[in-house]
Amino acid sequence: MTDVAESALPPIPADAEEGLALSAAIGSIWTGSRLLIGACSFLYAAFAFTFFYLRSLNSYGRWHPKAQHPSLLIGTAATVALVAAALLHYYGLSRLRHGLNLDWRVAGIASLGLGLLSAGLQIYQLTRLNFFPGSSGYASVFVGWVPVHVVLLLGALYWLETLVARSLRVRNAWHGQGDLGGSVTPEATRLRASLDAFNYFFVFLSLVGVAFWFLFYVID
Amino acid sequence: MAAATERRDGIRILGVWLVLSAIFMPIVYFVWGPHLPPGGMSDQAAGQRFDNRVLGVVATPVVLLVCTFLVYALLFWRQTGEEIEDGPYITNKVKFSGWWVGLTTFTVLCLAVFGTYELENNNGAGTGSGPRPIFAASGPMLPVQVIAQQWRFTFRYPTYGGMETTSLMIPQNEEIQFNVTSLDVIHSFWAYQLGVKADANPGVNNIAFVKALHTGKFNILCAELCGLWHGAMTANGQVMSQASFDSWATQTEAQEAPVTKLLPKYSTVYSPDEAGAGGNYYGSQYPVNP
Amino acid sequence: MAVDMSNAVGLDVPAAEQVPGSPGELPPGRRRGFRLPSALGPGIPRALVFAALGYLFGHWIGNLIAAGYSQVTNSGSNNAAIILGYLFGTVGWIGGMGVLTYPLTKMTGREELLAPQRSVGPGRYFRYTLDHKVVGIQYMVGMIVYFLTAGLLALAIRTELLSPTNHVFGPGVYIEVVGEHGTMMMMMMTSVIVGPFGNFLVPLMIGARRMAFPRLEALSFWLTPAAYIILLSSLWLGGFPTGWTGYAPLSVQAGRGMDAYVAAFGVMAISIILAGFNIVVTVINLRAPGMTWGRLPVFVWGVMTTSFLMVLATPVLFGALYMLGLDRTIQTSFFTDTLGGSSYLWENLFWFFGHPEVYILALPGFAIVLEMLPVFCRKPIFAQKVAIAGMVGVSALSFFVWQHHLFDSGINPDMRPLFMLTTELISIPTGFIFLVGMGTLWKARIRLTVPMMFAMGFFFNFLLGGISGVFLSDVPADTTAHGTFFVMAHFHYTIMGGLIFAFFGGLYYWLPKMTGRSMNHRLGKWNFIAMFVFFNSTFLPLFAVGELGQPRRVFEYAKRLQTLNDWVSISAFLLGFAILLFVINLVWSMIIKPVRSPENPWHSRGLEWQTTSPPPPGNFDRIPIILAGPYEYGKPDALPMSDLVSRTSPVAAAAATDSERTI
Repeated sequence: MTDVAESALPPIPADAEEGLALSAAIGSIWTGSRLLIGACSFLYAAFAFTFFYLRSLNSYGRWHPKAQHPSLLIGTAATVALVAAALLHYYGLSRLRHGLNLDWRVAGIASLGLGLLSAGLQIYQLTRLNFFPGSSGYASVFVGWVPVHVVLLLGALYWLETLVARSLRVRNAWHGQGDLGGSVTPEATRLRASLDAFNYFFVFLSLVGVAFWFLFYVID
Repeated sequence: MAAATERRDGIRILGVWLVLSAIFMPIVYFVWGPHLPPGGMSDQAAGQRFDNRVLGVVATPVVLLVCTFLVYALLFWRQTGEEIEDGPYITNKVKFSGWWVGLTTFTVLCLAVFGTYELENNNGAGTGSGPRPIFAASGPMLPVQVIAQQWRFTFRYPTYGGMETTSLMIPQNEEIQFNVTSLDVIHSFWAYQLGVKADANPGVNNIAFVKALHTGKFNILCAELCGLWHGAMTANGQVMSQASFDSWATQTEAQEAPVTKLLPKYSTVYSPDEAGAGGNYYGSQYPVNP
Repeated sequence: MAVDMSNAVGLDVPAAEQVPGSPGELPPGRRRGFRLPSALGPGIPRALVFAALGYLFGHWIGNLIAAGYSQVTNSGSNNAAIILGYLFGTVGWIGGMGVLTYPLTKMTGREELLAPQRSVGPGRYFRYTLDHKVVGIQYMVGMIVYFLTAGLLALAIRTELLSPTNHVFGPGVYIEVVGEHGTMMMMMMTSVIVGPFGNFLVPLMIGARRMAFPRLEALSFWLTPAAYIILLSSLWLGGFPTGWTGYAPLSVQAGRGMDAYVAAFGVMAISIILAGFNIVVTVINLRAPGMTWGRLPVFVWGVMTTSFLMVLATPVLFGALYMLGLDRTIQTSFFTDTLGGSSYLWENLFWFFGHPEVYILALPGFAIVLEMLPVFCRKPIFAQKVAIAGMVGVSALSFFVWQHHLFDSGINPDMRPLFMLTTELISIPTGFIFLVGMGTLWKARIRLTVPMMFAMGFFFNFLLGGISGVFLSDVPADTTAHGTFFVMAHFHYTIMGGLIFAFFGGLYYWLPKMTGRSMNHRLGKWNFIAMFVFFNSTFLPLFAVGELGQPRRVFEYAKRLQTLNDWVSISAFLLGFAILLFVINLVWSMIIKPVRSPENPWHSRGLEWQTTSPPPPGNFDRIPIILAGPYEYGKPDALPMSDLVSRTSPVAAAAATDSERTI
């Protein structure tokens, strides 16, 4: 420690602060997305706990009367659409890392469409239930979980939309410098960090979708 | 020299602490202890009082140590005046920290073992232990059902034809099994002097055991917020000798027979329809309308 | 939802201007496009109008939805309309404050709305602003308002309990007051340190110019007034009868006031999550060069562990409230046992949040006290790693103890020995805090200033609070104590005697930093003495009251307990006067007769004191390089904490920079 003092470091120059700010911003996006996944995990865990708790208690034998089931076709289609959207974006991002900017843009827009399709299907499914929200424990968990998942999904899609919109807007400005995938400006670096973070979150959401698909349609 | 004064401070604090502990620990255990709540009316209450005494004795030196230390520090290690003087540069004393961690861990583990033993030893220590208690009393016992609803307690005696009373009578020196349930929201059945507390949950049979040692009256209160008249949700209870309980019970059973006939059949839980917590909240499209 | 990109630097905003700015406030030369007249611009008037419109809109939607439910139509209590009204009202409120402008602009791909903070004057405290110091002050005032409101409600409770049978209020009003007091205090205590001190001081203590996500930070504050108003509006709707715990099915059965509980607690839950999220990310990423984890001040450690708990535990509360809201509106049956639900579900979910919440309330108190001790002992903190381990240990264990609130409930009775063990294990890391405190006091050169008095008071109060907790963790002893005034006294000792004493100590300690003005010390001493005496006089007898058989939240009690209850009530009024002393001191010293504080009044080594008070918009002239830990008192050759001050003497150097200051 004394050595540090004796060497008497020069103070940080003002232009180095920009680098510090950039690395802090990228780190913040990284940490923030992981923390967001943590918080959402606990929210989903509350529903998973509810599912298993009510299932194990089976009060008055009314956990899940067999006649009550949401449409398997719509539910599966919504989950498949969500997984496809996440995989598409994942693939698009890996193409972007190879410098193929157009591929990511197309994948992003398609993924946005698939995500909206998934959300729409889930809402449509809610209007086509053959049971009332309170007719059993299963019915409650299902009716309660779907809106939460849809809202988080729409939030993720909002994020994706801002990324796509930003990338389209800067397309001309960055064209000479390698565009989104190759530009070394702080702005582009940060946008790519945000893309990575979003990718993690989207994959997380799709995994949750698959997990709850198992809960609602396989284990029930 | 510094080490010597350091030792002197330590010895002084240690001395004061030991003397105070030697004075107060016996006082807590022997003088105060026998008067600690909830008294000794039942096996369970006496067990809880014993726990309170033991915990009180364990807590006393801890409180005294911190207080002695704080007072000593404020008396002898003060500085006043404008000039600011720095203290000694002590960042850690690993041996001391180690002892502290070791001792607290040891104490805590002992307390956990003690608590578990007491829980088991007193058949669940008078707590509500769920529908299938593992720490259960054995041998013959008298089942009494406690039904809580907004805002009163009633009591049913399945072995006496399922009669229902508004006061709780139990015999002395006999294991009692309370089956506590609720008709609407969550209540808590608290027989203060008996040392019994069991939540009354709708649709759940929550079992607590007690064995009353002395005859006398006891108070029953609701210990879980249950709405508007929670504060007024009380009942009376009495521990009677075996003989007077038998005569009271047979007499009341006969007297109440016409009423008992109108009551729902005895069951561990009840699912009232219109009178339940929902108050006909769920519509006619539902299979039941609580 | 999306990670806030506000840390993005606008394409051509120069580096020197990269400090938190309020949205839309471009320097005059760079403004363009259509601008609203300022009267219609973001601010409280517009927010109020939008909130009212939002409420009406939500109410209309709710009525539309619920029209299909025969039980709801014409019943005069359409819960869907009320809850949706509150939610849209909140959206209108934050929209009116200008929170939504940036996220909506972002959808078009623009990000240029970033600009430096240029607004000065008192008006900035009433706006949506991205300066963490302004948000800190806003939080401070907001939380004090919360505290005083809920404190008055507490006095109302004690007034009713003056007599066992004669009533000042009916049981209905009494139960409403109890619920309001508990919920408001819980909502406020969660943010009372992390909000004001966390937001204001964390960047200063880690050598950053700003928070990682200043927009989320500002949003987290602007949700709290909404939650406050929604919660109080419950009284107008008939209140809620459940206390702060909101046990189902009582809460499903309750009237319309319960909807306000659901909405207010839900809004506050979001605020808590956002505040914690921002602080965790900031501490991890924005530390100055050289600020290693070992040099990080204990206060920052404490706030960060608290924030982790806030981010992870509060979503569970949000989920539970959401389920309760659904049960009350669209008639799901999560908590109705005859339809496949369970009342146990609420108890489990609520306390799975509720117990970490309890430590969210304790940890910041530890953190403040341990931060102040070395300064006033003029000694390094004793065993800093043990202190940190204590705080991390407490927060990790707090997720595994929730069923000790349910020892008598019949939930998993076989698990009780395990939960008894985990609960008692928590006293080990808590003991670390006492070890560190006592070790720091050992042979110290104590200066008994007002903040130090509060720290000492904290240790005494928290000692009693913690020791009584051991009685509650022991299942047999808990049988009598559970659900009584003993529990109530226990958590008032830890929260009021612990956290609030630490908060007040922190205010006396850091207000000179936050405002450049110092509190009156003489009045402060009297404030402490009165508070300490009357606090103990109020809550110590309540242990006895509880053990002698008085349950919580009752409006009638046994006649034999009247003497004790009257003693407590009178002490409570006197405690109210002690807190009034604080308010008088605050208003007098901060607003009416401000006294300029010395630049570093406590002669602390801490990084936050190495800039002016109050700090300039960018906090520091340049990003500091951290050279040493914050607590190296008594080490002759110790380096100053950062290169912002010369090596000679941090105290003298800090005093030397005391030149161009304004009050």
